[in-house]
Amino acid sequence: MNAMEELLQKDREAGIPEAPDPAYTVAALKKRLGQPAASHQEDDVDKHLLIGAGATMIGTAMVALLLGASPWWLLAVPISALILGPYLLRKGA
Amino acid sequence: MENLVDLVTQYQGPLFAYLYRMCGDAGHAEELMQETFVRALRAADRYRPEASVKTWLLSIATNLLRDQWRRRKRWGPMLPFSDWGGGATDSMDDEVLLHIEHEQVRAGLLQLPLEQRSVILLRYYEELSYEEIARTLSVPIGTVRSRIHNGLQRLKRMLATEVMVR
Repeated sequence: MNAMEELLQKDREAGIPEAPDPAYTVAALKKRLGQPAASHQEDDVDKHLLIGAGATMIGTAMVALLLGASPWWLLAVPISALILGPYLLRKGA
Repeated sequence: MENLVDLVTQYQGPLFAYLYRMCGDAGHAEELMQETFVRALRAADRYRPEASVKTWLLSIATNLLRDQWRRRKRWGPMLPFSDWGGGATDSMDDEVLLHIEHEQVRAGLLQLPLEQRSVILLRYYEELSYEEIARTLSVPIGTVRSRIHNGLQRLKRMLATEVMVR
């Protein structure tokens, strides 16, 4: 097996392509490791959008009620939420 | 564990070399190296100081390669090497091997099964002991020995056949 080991040694000494610049790798890793934080932010944005949309719907319904609209109109709020909710929760929507 | 800059500065070289020799493509090796660092940093709390950082990283890299291997079943880029017909025997004179160029050795390594390739690289290129290899791959030392032996035999036969074909 010595001849094989010598061949492997020769290949080892022949070297390989240079590894990337460590600074570049560090920057790439920081970017990749920062991704979960960014997606948390996206989740927060989605949550705020949903809360905002819900508040707007309830506010609009209250104003409509004060102006004398039928209370049955308020049913439109949960129905709209059921329809719009999945769209608002979907990422990138 | 060290901070990110120290970790990369100290271990990028051996990790990249190992991955390059395992897959034969610098771009792919770089991608795998970054993924290895990411996995290591995310699992830093699971690091046990009884294993060196280098063997720990090599262990993560090997698992990563194994996962990819299972998904792809075979590597994409391969260095040129004629098909091995298994015509040469173990008793073939070592003289034949003197005509082998290192590029052929590299190509031959890429033709080995992943398990044999990884032990040979860890032993002869990363210079890990049998115990360290066993710990890195989570296999018994006897398995490491047999994989190295069988891998070297297989590589020898492939390279000898290559010389005969030329």
